[in-house]
Amino acid sequence: MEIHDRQVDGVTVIVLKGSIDAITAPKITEFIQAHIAKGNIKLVADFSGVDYTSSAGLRVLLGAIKETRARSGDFRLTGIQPDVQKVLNLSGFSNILKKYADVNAAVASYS
Amino acid sequence: MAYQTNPYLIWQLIPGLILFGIGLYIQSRPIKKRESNVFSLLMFGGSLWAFANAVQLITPNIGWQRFWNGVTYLGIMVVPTTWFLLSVKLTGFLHEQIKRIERWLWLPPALLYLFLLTSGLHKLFFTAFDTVMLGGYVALENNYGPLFYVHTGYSYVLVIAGIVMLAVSLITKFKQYGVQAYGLIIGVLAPLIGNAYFLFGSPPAGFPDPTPIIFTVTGVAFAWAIFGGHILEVVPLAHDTIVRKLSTGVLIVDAEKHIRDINPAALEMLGLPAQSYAGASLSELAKRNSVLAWTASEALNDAVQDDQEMQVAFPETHRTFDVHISHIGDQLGNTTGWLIQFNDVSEQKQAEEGMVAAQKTLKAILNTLPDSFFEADPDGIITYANRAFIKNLGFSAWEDVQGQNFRKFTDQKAVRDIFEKFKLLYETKQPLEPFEYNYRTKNGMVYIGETTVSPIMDGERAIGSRGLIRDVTARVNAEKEILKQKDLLDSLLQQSPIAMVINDMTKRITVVNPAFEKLFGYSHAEALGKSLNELLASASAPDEADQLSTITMSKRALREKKYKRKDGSLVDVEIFTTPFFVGGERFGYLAFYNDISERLKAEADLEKTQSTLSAVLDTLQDSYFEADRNGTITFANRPFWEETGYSSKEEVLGKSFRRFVAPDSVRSVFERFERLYQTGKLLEPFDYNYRHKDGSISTAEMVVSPILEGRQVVGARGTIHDISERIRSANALSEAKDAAEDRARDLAALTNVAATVSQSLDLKDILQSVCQELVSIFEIRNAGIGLLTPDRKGLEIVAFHAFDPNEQSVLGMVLPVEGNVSSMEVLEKKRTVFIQDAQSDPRTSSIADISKTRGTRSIMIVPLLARGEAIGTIGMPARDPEHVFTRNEIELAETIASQIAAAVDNAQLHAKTESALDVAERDLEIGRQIQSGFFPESLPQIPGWEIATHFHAARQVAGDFYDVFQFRNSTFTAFIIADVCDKGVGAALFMVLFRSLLRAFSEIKINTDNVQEQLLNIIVNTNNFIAEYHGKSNMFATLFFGVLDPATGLMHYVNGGHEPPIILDKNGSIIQRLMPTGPAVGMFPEMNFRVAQIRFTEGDFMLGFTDGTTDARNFAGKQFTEERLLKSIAAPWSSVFSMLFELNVELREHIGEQKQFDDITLISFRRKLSLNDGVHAICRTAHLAALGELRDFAESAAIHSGLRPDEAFAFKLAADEVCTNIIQYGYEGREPGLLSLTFDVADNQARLIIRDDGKYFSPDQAKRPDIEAEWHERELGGLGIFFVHELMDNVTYNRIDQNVNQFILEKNLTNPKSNKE
Repeated sequence: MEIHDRQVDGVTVIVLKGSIDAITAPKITEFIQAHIAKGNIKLVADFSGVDYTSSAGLRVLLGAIKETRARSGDFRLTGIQPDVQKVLNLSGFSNILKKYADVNAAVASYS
Repeated sequence: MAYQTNPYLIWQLIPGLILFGIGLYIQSRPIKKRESNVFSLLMFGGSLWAFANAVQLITPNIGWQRFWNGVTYLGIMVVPTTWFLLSVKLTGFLHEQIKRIERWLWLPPALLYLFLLTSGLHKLFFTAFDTVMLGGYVALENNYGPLFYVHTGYSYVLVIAGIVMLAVSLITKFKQYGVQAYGLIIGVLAPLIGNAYFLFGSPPAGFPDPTPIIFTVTGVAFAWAIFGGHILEVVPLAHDTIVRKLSTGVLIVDAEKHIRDINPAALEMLGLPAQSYAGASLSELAKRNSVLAWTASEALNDAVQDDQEMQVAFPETHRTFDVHISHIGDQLGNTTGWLIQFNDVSEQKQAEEGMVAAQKTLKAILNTLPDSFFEADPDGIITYANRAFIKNLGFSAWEDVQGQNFRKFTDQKAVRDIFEKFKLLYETKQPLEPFEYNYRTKNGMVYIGETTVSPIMDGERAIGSRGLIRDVTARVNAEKEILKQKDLLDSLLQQSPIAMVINDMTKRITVVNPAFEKLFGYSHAEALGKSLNELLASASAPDEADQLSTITMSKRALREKKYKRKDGSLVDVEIFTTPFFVGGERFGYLAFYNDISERLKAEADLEKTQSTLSAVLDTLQDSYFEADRNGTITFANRPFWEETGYSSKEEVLGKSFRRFVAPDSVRSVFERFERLYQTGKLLEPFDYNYRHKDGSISTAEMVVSPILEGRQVVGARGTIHDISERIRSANALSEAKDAAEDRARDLAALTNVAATVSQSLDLKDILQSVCQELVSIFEIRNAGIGLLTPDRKGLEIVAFHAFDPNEQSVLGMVLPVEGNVSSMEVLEKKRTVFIQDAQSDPRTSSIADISKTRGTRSIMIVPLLARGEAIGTIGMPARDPEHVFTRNEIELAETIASQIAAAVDNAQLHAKTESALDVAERDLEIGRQIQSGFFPESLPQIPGWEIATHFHAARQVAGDFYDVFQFRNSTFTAFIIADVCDKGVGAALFMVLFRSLLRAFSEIKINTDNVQEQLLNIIVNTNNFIAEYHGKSNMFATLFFGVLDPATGLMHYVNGGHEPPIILDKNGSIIQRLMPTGPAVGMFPEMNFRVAQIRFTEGDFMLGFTDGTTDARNFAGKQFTEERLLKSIAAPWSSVFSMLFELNVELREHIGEQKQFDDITLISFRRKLSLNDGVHAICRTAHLAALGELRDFAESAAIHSGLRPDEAFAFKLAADEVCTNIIQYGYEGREPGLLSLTFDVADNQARLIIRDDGKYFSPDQAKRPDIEAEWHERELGGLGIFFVHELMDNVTYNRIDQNVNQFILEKNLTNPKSNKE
């Protein structure tokens, strides 16, 4: 799992690559928490490099959504791959997440 | 009737009267014998003959004449038989035989007489009776019939037989008969003459039978002979049969004291020569110097008529004689002679004297007896008591007990008892059985006496009692004591763990204890009465058991033997035997058997080890020796004596080490040895000159260490390395070897890094040290370690060290990642970047200025990777700007970087957990981290093969490791399992070193042709490196290294002293063990290793393990054991995963909560039955790290089984969720076990079975999430299990074994046909 981030127009774009599971999820959570702690609450997660997630990944997402929205921010996704989409559907997360076709659209959604 | 006269009448009447008179005289004799009766009968017969004939003659009537003729014949018939009988009795001829048929002799004459009387009827005896007139008288003339002649013949036979007997007797014994013999001769001859005259002469007509007349002559002659010579009183027969044989001397003298008879006994006693003394006078005998004869002669001087008795003693010869003289007189009182008897009474006399002496002695003896002796009368009054009796009862003199009643000396309680005893004695008159009895002494003390009482008999009457009393007080007390001791012995025997046996003197077993029964398998009853030989003799000790007992009947002995058990098995025993006493008497012997099988085995092992060591030492290139504290050589290996020019070890042993030291080195060597002895510490290697046998000198390097016994230095051992030899061989080393050494040196440095890392937890310190090490390892100008900042935007230089101390440090500087292309590449790609020219390369443009300032061109940037994440970089610019970092350098740097990363990771972990962990636990944790970082992250996937491993960490850091990797550009796969000796951080570091060396030396090209050679090189190089560079640490590893060619199934392997891996076939039978092909690796340089081969056919397994497996202990300290291991795996397995899973479950059941002191490492692989073996299975240690492998397995197994991608994804996700749950909750707070996954498709249904041996938890406990809820209502947990249920058609979860849980995930395949597409 690789995580990068960059700031685009006041929005923090977090680029994830690899699989999200019980091993990698805590690091992602930690990474996101660090941003939230610094006040970066407008978050976009680029999931185009994420080919797989288990329920552990969903907990990361739910945690991020709750933390950011509680601070009037949000956590939005782009680039969702089919296997990840299946999991989102399965869990009903499709309903509570905001998804965008690409990073630019997601960033733009904050403005 | 008128009687007629006959002229011959007078010749009949006179003999008749004479004969009748003789007969009467005989009968009137005072001493009558049978002979007398026969003689009388003969005389009466003759007399009847004569008288009846006379009456016949005077009877005129013919009838009466015939009657008297018959009577006459009665006399005639009696005479021959009686004559014959008398002859027999007088001569003794045929005496015994005749006596038996005597009455039958009378039968012929009786029958003949019957015929005579009845002659008128048959005329067989007399045919007719003629009457003859002779001178006026009538005489009867008999006409004889045949029976008459029979009678006559018979009569003559008897008469002549009698005459012959008498004649022979007379001729042979003439002298004995004396003058009487003449009478006998006349008596004998008379009938012969008379009869001859009657028969052959011419008697006048009518002359009667003259026989009676002649017979009268015989009778008179006999009577004279017999009575004149007293023949009938002193019968020759008696003389012969009795007198001559008498032991009593018999001497008969007549009235004139002339010797009549003397027997040989008398001659001997009189001391006279054996000759005839008939007629000699007694006084003549006396003159012949015979005291006895003289005594007898004197006794008869007065011609006494009384019997006399006297005794004559001859003191010189100790002989005594009784002389008894009997007077022989006739009825008128006239003396006819004396019978003198001599009896030798010497012995009787001596016996009498002896008796007197014996009685005196007896009393004396009785008085010296320690036992009491008494005699008492029937009333119990003491009539005799010996000194002991008096003394034992506390009295001082005989008078004190004399006349006292026995009961006075009896304990009150025993009075009745003793009364009964004596009663019994007098009733039975038999000695009593010995009985114990309490006696009372004068002062009232009681002592116990064993008493024997017997009656004193007088004929049939018991007139008293005598008894012997033995004081057995001491014995009885001793017996009590013995009983006590016996109890002690019994309890000893019963409770002793040592087998014991007691044999009696005949070597029969009398007692065996339970330990004996247990050791040899014989019960007490079975062993009883047998000899040890029968029970225990074995082929190697055929009759030892009894021989041993013979040896030890008298003394103690200790032996070691091999004996046989009841079941035939042999057991080594140590035997200690000792004579065994009961009540002070030797009873037999006691043998102890100690089972020393274990000890012998240990000793044998030790010996084997020692001989192996000795052999190993001989194969060394260097000289090795051991010496005692005096410097005397006690051991030397082959190189030692060969090097010094000797021809055998024996030549060197016992010599002083000084002899092998050159004079100029003696002092320094001596001082060093002294230091060694005083400090007991290993000496630094030092050079010295040594001396050959021929006096030449060489230079060598010596390493000496002390030989310790406890803390005492008892000697020294050392190795001597010929330096010149080393220089020569060093020169001969090839370039390849140089390269290897370089790499080895690098790895040595690596060890230092590892040591540094492990020694400190301060991250800054660690990294600073590492930088220093890096600068010394590589030809670099400096080393800088940069860690990503938390926002991952910068690299903070946390450690820096420069080769040139004047170089400016960049410590603390934060380099931005953005724009730093080289660093980004390193971090993102997680790989090393090497830049040849940092000043011009676009990737380093952001630091081009700094590079120019510093003159940096060639630079290597290595990523720091921890748990799969890049956390920083190490930058290393080369000292030589043109330097090209080699592949080796890069790999080494990467290896170091991985350790640094682990250390950083640890330090960060440590920072988090510092407060919770104590220092010791931290150290262990670090060690484990180091260790676990060196296990392969994933196992190679090889088509047609299954591989599974498991590692169970010990509480302490240990030195186990395993490795599975494929050689570069090859499918050849290495399987390594090893155990570094010892435990602790040191062992862990060596494990790292071993592992690194093996990996480094495995960087080679391998193919079918060189695999054997290359494998050997890997092992030999590793061995030599460790032994040469780390020999002082004495670390080594048991190591199995196999190189498998998956295409052919052929594996080459070296087993360096490791537990032999097990090979199973597809049926689960153990078909082979891969035994060691060389020693443990790293002990000594240049050891011999051999490469062996094994070919795996389809379905074959290999299982390698470390001793932590078999030594795993349960709560009771009991080991798992190799037997159990073999038993657990010997079964047909569908996959290597199920085997490893089940084995691990069993192991963990055994271990329970027990913390292990040694790592447990298992490595196994299996050749599948076919490339697409029906079973899809995997087994991995329950770490999150394995999660990716596990879910990928589920997916690929599903795809391979023809499932659609979405179905395969369902299994992948479900497997992930279940495994995550198990790993996170099932093994929470416990050592991770194994997770086993199997996948199969049957009846249009796909099934994934997941097993674990963790805690049981119910997946249904999780609350079902509400997936319809709004975001703020959603909860974090519960989704995983929810997914599983959603994705699968059927989910079951249960506990199938005490410790094994099982998830079964099933999914119905909806469109089977499309699956194929």
